Amino acid sequence: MNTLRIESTEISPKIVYDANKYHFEIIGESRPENVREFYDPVIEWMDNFINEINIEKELNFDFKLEYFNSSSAKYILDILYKLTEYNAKGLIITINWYYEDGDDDMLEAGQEMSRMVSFKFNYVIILD
Amino acid sequence: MSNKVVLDYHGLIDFGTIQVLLRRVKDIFSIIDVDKSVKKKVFNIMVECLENILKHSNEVSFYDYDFDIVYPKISIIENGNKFIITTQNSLQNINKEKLTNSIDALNKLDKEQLKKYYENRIFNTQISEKGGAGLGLIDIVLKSENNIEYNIEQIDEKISLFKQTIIILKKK
Repeated sequence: MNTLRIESTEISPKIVYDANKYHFEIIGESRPENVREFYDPVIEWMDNFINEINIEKELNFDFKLEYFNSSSAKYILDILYKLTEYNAKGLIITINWYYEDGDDDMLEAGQEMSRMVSFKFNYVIILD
Repeated sequence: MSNKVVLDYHGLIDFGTIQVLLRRVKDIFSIIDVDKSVKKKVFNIMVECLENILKHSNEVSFYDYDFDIVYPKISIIENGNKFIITTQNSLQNINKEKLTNSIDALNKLDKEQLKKYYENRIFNTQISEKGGAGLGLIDIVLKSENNIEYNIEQIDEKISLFKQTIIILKKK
């Protein structure tokens, strides 16, 4: 399966899902003009990937979000649910949730998401 | 306490305008000496306010009403130990009760209850045609850690002016 690569803009994050290295990442700000148009293809890619999962590998997912609006939050939760589906198929997954030093809102958002999908995150502080 | 104006805007709000306003606030925040996390909080709440205004911006025609009524306002003031975000936009009277009920309900909740409410909402909501998830107001109350103060002034039998104030305290 091809790697999913979306470059960042001022209003949308960079997304790279490397289907060979099993390294996925979302980086930047997320407040796209049309949130469905932006995230639906990402979810579709993830739906297709589930059929090709190699459980001999391990998946690392880095969330390095500086900011996401409330509509994007719904899709981030959907992405996390897809990851739990992968995990249920036997794939070992590590989720790293990055937040800037002092950004309690971003840390708490990660903790809430983790609780909602019942999946443990690693929290990684970004120091200035 | 003296007011320092970070932003004071009155006019059309569309997606392009929002980007201009956000860039302006980012530029100002890059030079003022306030904790980064507080600036980020103010920025986040500003985005939700502007997106809420945008989602309801087509409800009132500028052919029928004056500039002052049709076009929204947003201001961000730094005042001592706090930032004050004030917005004003028109809405149809038929939507008034739904909005005030939502805000009144949120204002009564403590932080844990708000998180529960948010969780329930995010599980059950669908993204609307306008791109909304119905989470914006909850996010504003959660992030500001303050109630939304609001006032609604009826203009005529069709529309009202909705004004809200959100206070964000600097680090305790």
